[in-house]
Amino acid sequence: MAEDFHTFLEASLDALAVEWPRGTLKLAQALDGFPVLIEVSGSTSVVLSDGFGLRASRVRREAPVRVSTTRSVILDLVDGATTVLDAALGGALDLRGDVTSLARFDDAFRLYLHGAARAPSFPALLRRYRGEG
Amino acid sequence: MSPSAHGHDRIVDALLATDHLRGSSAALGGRPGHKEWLHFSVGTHSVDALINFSIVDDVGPDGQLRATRPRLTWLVHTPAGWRGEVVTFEPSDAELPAGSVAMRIGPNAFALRDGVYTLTAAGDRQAVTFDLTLRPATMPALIHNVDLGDGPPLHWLIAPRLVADGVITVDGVRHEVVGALAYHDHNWGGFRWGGDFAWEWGYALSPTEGPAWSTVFTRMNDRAYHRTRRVGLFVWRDSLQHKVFRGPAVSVRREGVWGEPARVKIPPLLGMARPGTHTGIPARLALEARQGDDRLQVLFVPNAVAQVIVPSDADEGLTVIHEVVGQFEVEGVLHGERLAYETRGIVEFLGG
Repeated sequence: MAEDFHTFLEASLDALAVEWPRGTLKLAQALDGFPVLIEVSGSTSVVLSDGFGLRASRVRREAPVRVSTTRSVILDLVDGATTVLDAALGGALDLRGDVTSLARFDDAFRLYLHGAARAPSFPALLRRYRGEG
Repeated sequence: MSPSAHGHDRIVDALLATDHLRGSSAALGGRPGHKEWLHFSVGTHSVDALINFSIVDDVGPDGQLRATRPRLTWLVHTPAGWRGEVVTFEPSDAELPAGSVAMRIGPNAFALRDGVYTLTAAGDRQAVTFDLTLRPATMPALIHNVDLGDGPPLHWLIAPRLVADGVITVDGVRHEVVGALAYHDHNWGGFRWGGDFAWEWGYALSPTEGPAWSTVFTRMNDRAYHRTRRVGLFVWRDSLQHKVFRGPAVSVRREGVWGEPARVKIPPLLGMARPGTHTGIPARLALEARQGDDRLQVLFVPNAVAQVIVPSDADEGLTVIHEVVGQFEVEGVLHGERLAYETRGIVEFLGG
C-alpha cells in the first residue's frame, strides 16, 4: 500500500541528514525560521528548520509558503511527465506566498532535489511512496 | 578462411583483449571514485537510440566507498520526440565480471560473444525495449590518460562502427533494426563530475555504400570553454584506423546559436533542479583538419536534443550533458583518396 506524503517526506529528510549531511545543513540554513506548509492529497506537512537540521511536522501552522497538490502530480513530476511550471500554470500545483518567500522556497526546493539525486536511499523511498514496496 | 572473416576475428580478439570491464578497486582497498561506462548508440530511419551501462563508486561524506552502483541510462529519439531514463540498481542485482566484456544490470545485459555484442535492455517505467545484436566492424582504438584538468584522467576505447540488427520498441511501436550503423565506446577513470573540464564528442559513419568511413572527434576543454586541452579527429577506413589528426592540426569552430529547447531532461528530479530549456548548443559545429596533403572537414548541424544531468561529486553543482542528433557532412582527402559523405550522427556537448 502506498504511504502518505508526510511519511515519505519525513523519511527523506532523515535520509538526507545521514547520507548528504553537508547539503542538508545548507538546506536547514536556507529554511531557518521559514516553515513551509505542504498539502498533498489530504496529507499535511510542515517543514521546520532550526538552522542545523530539518523535521516534518503534521501540525498545521501559518507559513510564508504553502504548496498544495495531489499524489498523482507529485509522481508526474518525479517521472518527468510534467514540469513544476506546467503543473502550476495548469492549476494542478498551487503555490502561495509573496515573491520573496516563493523565491526562497524555490532555492530550498532545488537544494532538496540535489540531495534526492545523491542520497542512495531515495529510489527505495520513492518506491515505497508509490506503494511498490 | 575468407579475408573478411579473418579480419572480423582479429577485431573480436582485439575487443576481447581491450573492451573488458575494468571494475572498481575500492572494495579491494583501492581509492574510491571509479566511474566506468560502456556506451552503445544505433540509428535507423525511424529511431535513434543511446544505451549506456555504467558503474559508479558512491562515495560517502566520509570519503569512504558506500557501494559501487550499477546504472542503466537510455535515450531514444523518434518522430514523436525524446524518451529516456536513468535507473540505478542495487549492487546485488548486477553481475559485473571484471575482465569480461559483459555486464548484467537488473534485467538489462550486454555481452561480446560469438563475434557479436548482444544487448537487451528495457525501460523501468517506460515502455521501451532494446533487443539487438551488434557486429563490430573496426579495430578498436585505445586512448589513455585524457587530461581533465584537476584530478585523475579519463581513459577511452573507441569501437566506432558496428552493424546492428534486432528490434527497438517504443510505446508498442516496433522499430525494426536491419543492418543499421551503430557506435560503441567505453570510458573509465577516477575523475570527478564537476571538475574543470567540458567536452564535445561525436561520430559520423558513412552509409554502407562504398568504403566504410568512420569519423570520431573529441575536443576536451576547461569547464568555461576558454582553453582547449586536447583535440583529436580519428578516421577509420573499413576496419583499420586510417588517419589521426591532433592538436594544432585541428580547428574547431562553433557557429551561431541553435534555438531549439531541451524539453526532455533525465533524470526528471535533476531536471526540476535545473529548469529552463536553453542549451547554448551552436547552430553549426565545424571541424577542419590539415596535415601535409591530408585534409578533412566535418560539419554538424543539430536536429534534436535531450539532456542528461549528473550531480557533481565536488559540490552541490550539476553537470549537464546534451545528447544531440543531427546531420553530418564529411569531406576531405586522406592519403590521396577523396572521401565525401553525409550521414546522421550524434554529438555530445558536456558542460560549458
